[in-house]
Amino acid sequence: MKRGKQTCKILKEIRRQIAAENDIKLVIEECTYQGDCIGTCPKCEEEVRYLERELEKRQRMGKAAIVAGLSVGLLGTSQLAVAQQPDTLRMDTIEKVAEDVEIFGMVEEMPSFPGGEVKLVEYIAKNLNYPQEAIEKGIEGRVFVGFIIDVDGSVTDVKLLRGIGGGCDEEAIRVIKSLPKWRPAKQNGVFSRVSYQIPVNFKLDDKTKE
Amino acid sequence: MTTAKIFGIGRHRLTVDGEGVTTLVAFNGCPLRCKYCLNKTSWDMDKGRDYTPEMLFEEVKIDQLYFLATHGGVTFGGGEPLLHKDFIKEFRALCGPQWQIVVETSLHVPFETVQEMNEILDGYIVDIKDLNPAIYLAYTGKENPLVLKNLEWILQHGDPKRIKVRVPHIPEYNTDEDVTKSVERLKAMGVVEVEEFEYIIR
Repeated sequence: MKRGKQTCKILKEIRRQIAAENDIKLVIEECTYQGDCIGTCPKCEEEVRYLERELEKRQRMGKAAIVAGLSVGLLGTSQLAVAQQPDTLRMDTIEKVAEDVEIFGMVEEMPSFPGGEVKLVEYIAKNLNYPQEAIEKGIEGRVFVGFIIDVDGSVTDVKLLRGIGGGCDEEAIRVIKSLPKWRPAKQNGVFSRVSYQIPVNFKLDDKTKE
Repeated sequence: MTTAKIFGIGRHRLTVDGEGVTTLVAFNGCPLRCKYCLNKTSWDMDKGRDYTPEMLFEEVKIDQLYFLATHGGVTFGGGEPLLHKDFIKEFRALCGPQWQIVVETSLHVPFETVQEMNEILDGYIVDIKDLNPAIYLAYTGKENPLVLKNLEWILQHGDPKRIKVRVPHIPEYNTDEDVTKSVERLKAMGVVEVEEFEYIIR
């Protein structure tokens, strides 16, 4: 996936510019991975999170975070942009339409849990423990958890999207992290990485409430 | 609580639909039934996943640094994104004014919707189909005076450069001559960003 590699290169350059402009130490290693690339990977994502944390630190110290418009010229005229033209930015409009097809191909076949949604619900119900703190405080509700289903079907980048507290958020994340491998999504016949969200329900039964 | 079905989210699109690094968010639901629709999935209201503006914001904000650094943001497509005006308005309230919000639209939506949304949108990518009413009707199943009224209005209420109008060559429906006529008429209306393109038949 040449295009992914080019995207990765451009995003990396943006990160480098942000780091340089804000005096953030960022060692960018050349990626040696030769397989399919969607333009980002857990390592690239971690670099972004690191930059966010460093910028926040600077702001807390009263320093300005310089980001807005920093890389505006990068996508238009730089060597990087020119380098990616043959694959993605050719003004030949057929390529443009073809690209749309590919992006939406990401959801041509959604990832699926072994045994289907029923089994997924069963798995969560079976493994989910109601946190003692939430029982004591009578906390109920839905915890939204987001994650990535990677090209090999593994569940990664699990994160809390909306929580209810009382230990429920941590418990929902623990169970989602323990999920077995899924059947990954397919993009034009190729397995691809997609994001997914699940609401995890916490509901006390009447007896417990009493 | 506003919710919408979304059937695709594509990250790290580089200058393809809007300036800078963008994330394309594709809504279900469309008033048109174009023969060569790229995303017929959008016609099916059951296929996407339910999102609230908050859920979407949480998911796409991981690219906030890229958006800010390149003047990029979120492009809403579909489907017809302007069918989800409340969702987009709430999303704007969450993301703030710095992200660029662009819609890929047919403008085949109520006039009031366009008036209401113009203030909060940074750009439009309009798939105009063909300006000839007969061709438009044959290809989409709908009439186009509303589209032209909406286009005229947004041209008069903001910088025309924020509006890119795509004019497709539609096999079996229009000719090169029809496309030329559409382009000329659009330019006469004040459109400055016109782009011709070919549909791929799959």
